[in-house]
Amino acid sequence: MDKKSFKGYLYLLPSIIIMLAFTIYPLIRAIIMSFLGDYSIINHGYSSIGFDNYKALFADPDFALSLRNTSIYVICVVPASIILSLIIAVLINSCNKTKAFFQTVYFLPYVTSVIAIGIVWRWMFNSNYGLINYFLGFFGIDPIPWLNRPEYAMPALIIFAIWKSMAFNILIFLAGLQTIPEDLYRAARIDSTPKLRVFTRITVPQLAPMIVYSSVIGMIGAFKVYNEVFSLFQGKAGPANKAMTIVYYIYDKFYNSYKYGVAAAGSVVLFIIILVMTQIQLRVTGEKKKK
Amino acid sequence: MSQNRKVGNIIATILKYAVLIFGAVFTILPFVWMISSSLKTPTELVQIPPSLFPETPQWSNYQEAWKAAPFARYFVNTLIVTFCTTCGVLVTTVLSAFAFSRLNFPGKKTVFSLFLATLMIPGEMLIITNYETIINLKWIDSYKAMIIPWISSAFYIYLLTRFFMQVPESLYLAAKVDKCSDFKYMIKIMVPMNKQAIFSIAILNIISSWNAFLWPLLVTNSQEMRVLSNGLVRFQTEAGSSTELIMAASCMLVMPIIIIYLFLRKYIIEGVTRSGLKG
Amino acid sequence: MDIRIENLTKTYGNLNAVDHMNLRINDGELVGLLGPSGCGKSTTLFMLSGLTTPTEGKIFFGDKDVTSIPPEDREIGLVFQNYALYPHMTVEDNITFPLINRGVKKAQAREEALEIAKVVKIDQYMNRKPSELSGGQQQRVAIARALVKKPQVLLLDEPLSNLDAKLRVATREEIRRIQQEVKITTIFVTHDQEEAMSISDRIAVMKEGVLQQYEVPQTMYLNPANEFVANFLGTPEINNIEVDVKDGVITAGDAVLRTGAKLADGHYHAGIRPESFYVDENGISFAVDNLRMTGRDLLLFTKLGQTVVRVLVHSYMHVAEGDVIKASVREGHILVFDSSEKLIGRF
Repeated sequence: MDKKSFKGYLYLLPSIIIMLAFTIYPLIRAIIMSFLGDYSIINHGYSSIGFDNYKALFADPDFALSLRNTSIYVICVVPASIILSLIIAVLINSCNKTKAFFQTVYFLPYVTSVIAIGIVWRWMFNSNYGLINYFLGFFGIDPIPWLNRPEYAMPALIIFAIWKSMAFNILIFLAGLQTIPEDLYRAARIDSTPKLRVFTRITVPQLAPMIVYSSVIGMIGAFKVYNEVFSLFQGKAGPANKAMTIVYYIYDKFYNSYKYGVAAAGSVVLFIIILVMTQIQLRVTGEKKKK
Repeated sequence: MSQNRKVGNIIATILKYAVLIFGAVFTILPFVWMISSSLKTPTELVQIPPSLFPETPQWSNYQEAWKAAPFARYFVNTLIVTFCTTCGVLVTTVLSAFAFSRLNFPGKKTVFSLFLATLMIPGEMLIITNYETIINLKWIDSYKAMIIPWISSAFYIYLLTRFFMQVPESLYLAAKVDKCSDFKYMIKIMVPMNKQAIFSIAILNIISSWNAFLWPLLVTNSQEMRVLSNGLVRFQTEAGSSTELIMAASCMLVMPIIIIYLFLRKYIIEGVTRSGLKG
Repeated sequence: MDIRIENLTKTYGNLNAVDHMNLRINDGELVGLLGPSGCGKSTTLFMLSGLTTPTEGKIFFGDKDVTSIPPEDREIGLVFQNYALYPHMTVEDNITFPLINRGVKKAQAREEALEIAKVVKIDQYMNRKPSELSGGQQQRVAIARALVKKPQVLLLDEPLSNLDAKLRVATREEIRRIQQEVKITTIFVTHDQEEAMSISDRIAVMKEGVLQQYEVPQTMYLNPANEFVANFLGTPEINNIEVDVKDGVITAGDAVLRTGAKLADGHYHAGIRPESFYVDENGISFAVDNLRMTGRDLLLFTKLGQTVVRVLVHSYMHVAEGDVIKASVREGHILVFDSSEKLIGRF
């Protein structure tokens, strides 16, 4: 290697070492591990090579449950968060003096620890003394046992997740709104276009790339949901495992049941889901660039 | 006609602010409730109707919580991990971004694509084997275990490379003619010219290190090595029904970041926006 | 320092960006490298600076072969098109930067920086950042930074293209003045023929990597080596006309342009500059189709045979659309080219 190439790699060396050791190697290793039956990370022994872990995975009703729960979570959280964020972002953007204030407030959830704020939400969801049931009482709704009854576990998790995920979407939409040429709105005003029509015919189409981007990022994030579950249900997956998600399942198999092979197989499935999502994103943003 | 429009506009404005304020209250309610609950007496906590402000703020709750678990130790640990991780990230990110944006060497494009490709790998997938690696290295229960795996980020490298590429090539050529070495050019020209971007990366990394939960939980066993977020969860289990103390402990984890955010929100918002729009 | 370029060639893929170029520049001369974009003029400049390595050929500074010497050891000053000032440093730090890199003591560097700043007249802005200066001032800081290390050669890449029209004229005079004051061999790249002609001692015109002509501006303007150079120099552009020659009579369509020309019979390309016409009672009749006032001159659009011809007259001449004027071409101002576009002669 000549001096010049040596120099380039010298600058990259620290990153390359970390990446090889903690990203590339574990990726390959996790894939290999997923094919080793009864693998132990202590003595590296295994009983078989093959698809046993995958068979066990897909035969496990808990995994099916986690897939189902995660899908419900994704389908509820992502669209709701996108639509609400879009409305809020457009409203914030139309303010002049209060814009910075609202932007600051609405972004707050993004920077806070999910663990800490999840504990607060847990307190607010408390069936006897929780703030949420108190407010619902004004509308004549009886106290809801949010965290203790299986049928309310998912709704509680979804409310918390929407609250948390809106911050990022609002920020991206606000940035996107800045890039829409003011002339489009001036032209619309001259043509006395109704406000709702301006929103549906100008704002939304102009923001389309951001909306797609936020949706995909949101979906990728939602498929990996874990901390929210952990903090809201105090380390459990909710009553009767009703809030069991894919990542929760993986960690549970890995950390509590020591089923490393099955956990690895689950993570390979997660990897494939994320990969598909990413491909969709690249396809969409690629098309945007072509235009 | 114009009278009607005027009335319509006023109603629209009122509606707009009503929605925005409702949303803002919904957004900050958990924070307000956390602080308020942390200053209440146990009786006030369960009182119906709940009061927004405690009658006399129980500052002693914080003292009690602070004493009930080794939070001072957790704090120091979190600071050490956050500081070291962020310094590491800055060094590796600047070096790599400079190599990718200015140096020429065979395989540069391939290596860069490889870095980008790793962004698609969910970190959750890597944790199992990384845990195994940490055991093999006998790093369990050490700062090393919490810091080293996180001192390089393909995402920040990608972000800073984009910033570095915006610096005109002619500056590099001019410096070359002026007998400036590559390393000196990086330190004296590239870093100061992109200090805002680098600062944003630092703050974003501080936030994510501070809030890290699962990895430190996995690689530490002893109380002495625990970070705040783990300590908080542990405390929650131990303190049981002392909600006011749990809320006080939560405040201790959340407040430092909120203070940083309120002071440096420009950099944070800009950093997230840039990474969002470019990602 | 005189400069010699021998067979200089730069190949990108199978494209010759610069093709076997030979040039000799005398000590203290200001030379303009002129040509349309992509003609290889900037590549030539970057090879002179050492930032680009030639595929073939040699460069001599004085008697020394510098072809393989890296830019930092070539004793050159280089000014970039966008100035390449370091935006986070003050003017003074920008100017002292090359000195401090060479190990000059801070105090000494500041002294030398001030000295050169006085020459380029920016000494009152030493503590400002580049963004607080106008384009012309930034340009001068860039020149000061290039000159402070007392180079043997000054190279400027499109030094005026980032300035607005008015500043451009003032700045080019300034460059000339500084060059004369420092007495440094200077080469600059430009695509603007007026700029090149107004300040250069000599101009090198390039096209598709090949040197077309290397001459003193006036000689080049009057005696272009070929049709390309003739077309490239001068505004408004030269008129390209098809002419026929028979028995020494040059005609374009029905109009007789010249008699008694010593030229073989045949069909030729010819070029006549718009200002080469003069009003003449006995001249050719031109019907004015259109006219444009440019200030000092009046530009008339007429026809010679089927070809549109531009004729420049004084702006105080009374003429309107539809008028017919009579004009002839000044002696020696009909440029005749052969089939390979080379100049045969002036008639």
